[in-house]
Amino acid sequence: MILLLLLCAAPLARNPPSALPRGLLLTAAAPVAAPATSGLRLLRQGHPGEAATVLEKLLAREPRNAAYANDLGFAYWRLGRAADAERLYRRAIALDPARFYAWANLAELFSAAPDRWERADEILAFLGQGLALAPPSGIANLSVRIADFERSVGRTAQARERLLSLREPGLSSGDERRINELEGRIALEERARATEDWPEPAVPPQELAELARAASLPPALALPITDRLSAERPGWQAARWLRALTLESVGRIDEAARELGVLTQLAPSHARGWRRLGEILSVHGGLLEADRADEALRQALALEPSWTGLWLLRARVALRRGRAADALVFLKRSASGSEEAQRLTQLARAQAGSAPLSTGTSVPPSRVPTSEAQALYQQAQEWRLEPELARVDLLRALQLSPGFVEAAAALYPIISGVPEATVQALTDDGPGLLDLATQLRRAGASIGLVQPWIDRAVELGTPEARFERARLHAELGNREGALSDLVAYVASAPRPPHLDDARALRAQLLPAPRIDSADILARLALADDLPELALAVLGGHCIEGLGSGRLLALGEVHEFAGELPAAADCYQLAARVKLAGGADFESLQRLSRVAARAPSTALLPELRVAAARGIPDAEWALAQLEPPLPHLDRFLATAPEGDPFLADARAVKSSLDRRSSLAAEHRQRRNLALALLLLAMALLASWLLWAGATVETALVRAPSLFPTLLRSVAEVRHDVIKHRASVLGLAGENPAEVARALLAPEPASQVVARTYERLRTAARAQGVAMRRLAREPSFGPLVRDLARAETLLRDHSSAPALSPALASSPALAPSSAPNSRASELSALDVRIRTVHAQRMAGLLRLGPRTRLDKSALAVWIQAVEAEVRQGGAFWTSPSILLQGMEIEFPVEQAALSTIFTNLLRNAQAAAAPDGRVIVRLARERDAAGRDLHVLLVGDSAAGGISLDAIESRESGRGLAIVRDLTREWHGHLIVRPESLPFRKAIGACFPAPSI
Amino acid sequence: MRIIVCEDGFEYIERFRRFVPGFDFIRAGHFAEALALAPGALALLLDQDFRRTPRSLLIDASGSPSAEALADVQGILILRALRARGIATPALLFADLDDASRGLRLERELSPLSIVPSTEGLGQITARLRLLAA
Repeated sequence: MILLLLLCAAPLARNPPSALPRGLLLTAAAPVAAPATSGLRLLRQGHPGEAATVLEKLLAREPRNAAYANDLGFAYWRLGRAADAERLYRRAIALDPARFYAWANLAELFSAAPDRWERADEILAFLGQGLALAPPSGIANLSVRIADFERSVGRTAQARERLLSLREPGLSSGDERRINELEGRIALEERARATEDWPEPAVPPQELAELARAASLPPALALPITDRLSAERPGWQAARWLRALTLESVGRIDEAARELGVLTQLAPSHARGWRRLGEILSVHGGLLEADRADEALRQALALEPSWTGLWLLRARVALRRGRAADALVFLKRSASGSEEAQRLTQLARAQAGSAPLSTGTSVPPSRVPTSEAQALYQQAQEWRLEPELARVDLLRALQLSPGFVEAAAALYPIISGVPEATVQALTDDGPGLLDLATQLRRAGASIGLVQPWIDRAVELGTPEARFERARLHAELGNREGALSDLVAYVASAPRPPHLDDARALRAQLLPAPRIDSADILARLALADDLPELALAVLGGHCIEGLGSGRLLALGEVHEFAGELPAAADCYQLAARVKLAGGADFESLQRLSRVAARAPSTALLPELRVAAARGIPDAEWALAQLEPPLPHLDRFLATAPEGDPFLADARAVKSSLDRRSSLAAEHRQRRNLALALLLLAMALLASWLLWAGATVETALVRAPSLFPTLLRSVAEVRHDVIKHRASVLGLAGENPAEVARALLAPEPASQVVARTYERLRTAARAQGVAMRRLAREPSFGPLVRDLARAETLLRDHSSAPALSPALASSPALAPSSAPNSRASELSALDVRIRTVHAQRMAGLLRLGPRTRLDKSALAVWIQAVEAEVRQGGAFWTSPSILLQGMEIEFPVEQAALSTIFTNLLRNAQAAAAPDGRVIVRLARERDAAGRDLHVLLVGDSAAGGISLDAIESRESGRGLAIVRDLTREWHGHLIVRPESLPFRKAIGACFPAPSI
Repeated sequence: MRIIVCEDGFEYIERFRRFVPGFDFIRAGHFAEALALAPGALALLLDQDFRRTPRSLLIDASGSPSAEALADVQGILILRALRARGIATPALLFADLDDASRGLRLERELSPLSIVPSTEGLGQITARLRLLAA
């Protein structure tokens, strides 16, 4: 039935006037000229804009034509121009007040006016004028439109009454159909209004505080408080909600379910109440509670489609009810891949052929009179036409059974009263008093007579008495009293017998809420598990231009049906509309919940806004679309404990933490490996760059390298610094010649580089690796400066190009402007002549030195003596003549020792067989002004030897070794006469080491 | 203005001829040539080291060829021999002496003599020559 009613109502619920061609066209009923026909045709073809153009011209031509004014008004109405439409309808009425079409169209327009609630009385009065002026043929039609207006402002009882008055013989079939349709719609809306919350009592602040305190107490302590508060204020939803929670917490599940049933009865919009009730009933309830559980879960989902976990419960309940197909649908909507969902899915598939079980009903108690009283009552019924006889029997029956309510009710029309004994008998029987009052009212008793009994029944705690008293209050016009009793009645028990009647009575007592009935109808459809119908009621699809409320409602339906992308689209549009308006929390929250289940990058902008506004589910959705950690952390920090995504988020977080930990370990290992690799590379690079000895350290490791160094330095100083680089200072005057001097025949830098390479080779031969030229601190900088100078001069020379190695040097960057080039050359000139020249001179001071004193000489002499004696040759101990305590020679010790040893051997040989030998160490100054250190070994042998003779000797033996070593160490071989008894002395002199 | 350049190679003479205009540089490869050319010369420029000169042309402090003639201080020995022979031409000796006192002593003994270290560039040497010519 509900399906049929909703299907009928669906087109009516679509508000846009363009979709409702129900208006009455005056020209349709009147002879019209061709242009008017054209305007009418255009309207019927769905071209209101073109029709309006035609009709505007017609009306301009005939401004007093009521038909044109009405039709033009209708065209405007179809175009959404309500104000213009109203103006034209009123003009048509002014031109022809007796024509009902314009009145009817105006009534339809008023039915959709946003201010219809405020103007209801005024509009009804106005339409009443039209009704008074309408011809009989139009009264029914116009009355239906007026009734529809009454419906639109919630005055459904008034509308029903109006429609009822139209049902007379002779009613046209069209009017009858319209009446039926409107009655159906009113019935549907009245049912829809059953979903409204009952009004709550005003609660004093101290009780609010008490409830808040109770919420913070342990359940066992909170329960007495909530018991008391709920009893004192039965309609206070918050108290009942807390009471239900505390009852559940202390294990009183049945009572909790009862309390939640009452709560949801009082507040059908209490989504959490429905949810908790559904959860309790589905978990703890048996088969008999399955229907209630499913209803509760359905209501909860209709209010909060995001609670997807409830679909699993619904599936479980459906299976319990033997509805496997439903269970599969619910499981699909849950979109859950959990083990429980899989288990239920298997169960649902396996379940076949099970029939739904029926549920039992309860029967109310009755009062049974004695059998004699019963017999007298039945006899009195037979004396219906003899009241006196019936009176006697009934009085006798009541004497026997004073509480025999039926007998009292039957007696009342006869004696217009009730025996006092009966009242007394029932005075502590609330249901009995209520029954008595009800039956007497039916028998025509006054309110005044029955009210005390009903009050007493209320006192006695008879729930139904509340309802009856509410009806009495309503009848007496005591709206407040009626509402108070109705609330108490609805709060008295889950689904009390007259719940629907109570709701209907409330509809008469309370003004209709100003809400779009389509939303209510859609919610009803959802509660009946009919999302497709809900969509139809709401108008189908989410498109731009719809109001945010409608978009949200459509989104909820899609979400209920498990169509998450469509739901997200609706919420996104709603969020955009609301964002523009500033109040966007609900749409953003709903969007976030859907996005959390079906993430989409298209939702990112709104999700970010939602996250910024502290909506936890937005963070969870973003965590699935972006790098998750920050969003995940924020979600876990802010989501309330009941959030449906918490479990998943915690699982993901845990997984991420594990992965993060593993990744951190991996990263640590990788970083370590990388660091080691870098270190190795750095060491390798360092080795490549800095490996090897400088000149200074090479000399320490291989002092015998010094002669080679000496030659190299002399070459660099003489050939390069003195004769080539010294012209750099003239580069400003004669750049070409300076360039030639530096670059030809080969660049000076190459000369130095080659010299250094020779030194390096010599060092290598002695087991010492020297640094690459670029990193050697003496030769390297000199080569760089020379190369730079050469580069600066290259433009002025046709000299050969540099070697590739030198050309790649950073020093060879392109030269700058002439002035700066000259100044740079000048600076290079100074640096080469001073810094580099001194650095080269400094290298010469690094040479080895050997100090000779008597003891050192004695050791060497002993060695020679041992050798000579071992060979059996003559030996004479030499005299030693040492000038001063010691003399230092710029010669490596081994070389000096070799020189001395050979000199001594030579002298010993010469002195044999009985000659003498003398060793002389002295300091001298030569003709060039140099201080020389001299080592001479003289002998007493006759016969001399000349320097030429020594010079001519073949290398490798005796004095030739002395000659060669002396020359290598930059000394001079000397042959001198020696005073007697010695004849001559042969030796070596070396420049005194500089200090 | 004739200037005698006494060296064992041609490095000085070429450099001076190329970069120091206004003078007539004449090379003397050993003592005998220097002795022949020195009279009437504006200045005498001496290298110190004559290692490339044949030993037979090297002299000792007396100006005589000698087996003990030292090539590495030959320039000083040549100057000393010239001075001994009355040649008083102002001389510039190109030498890097480690001992400053030795330089002063030589300048005093072989006056007029200026010892020019290699830290002096050609420009400064030219200035010295122009000063002599002034």
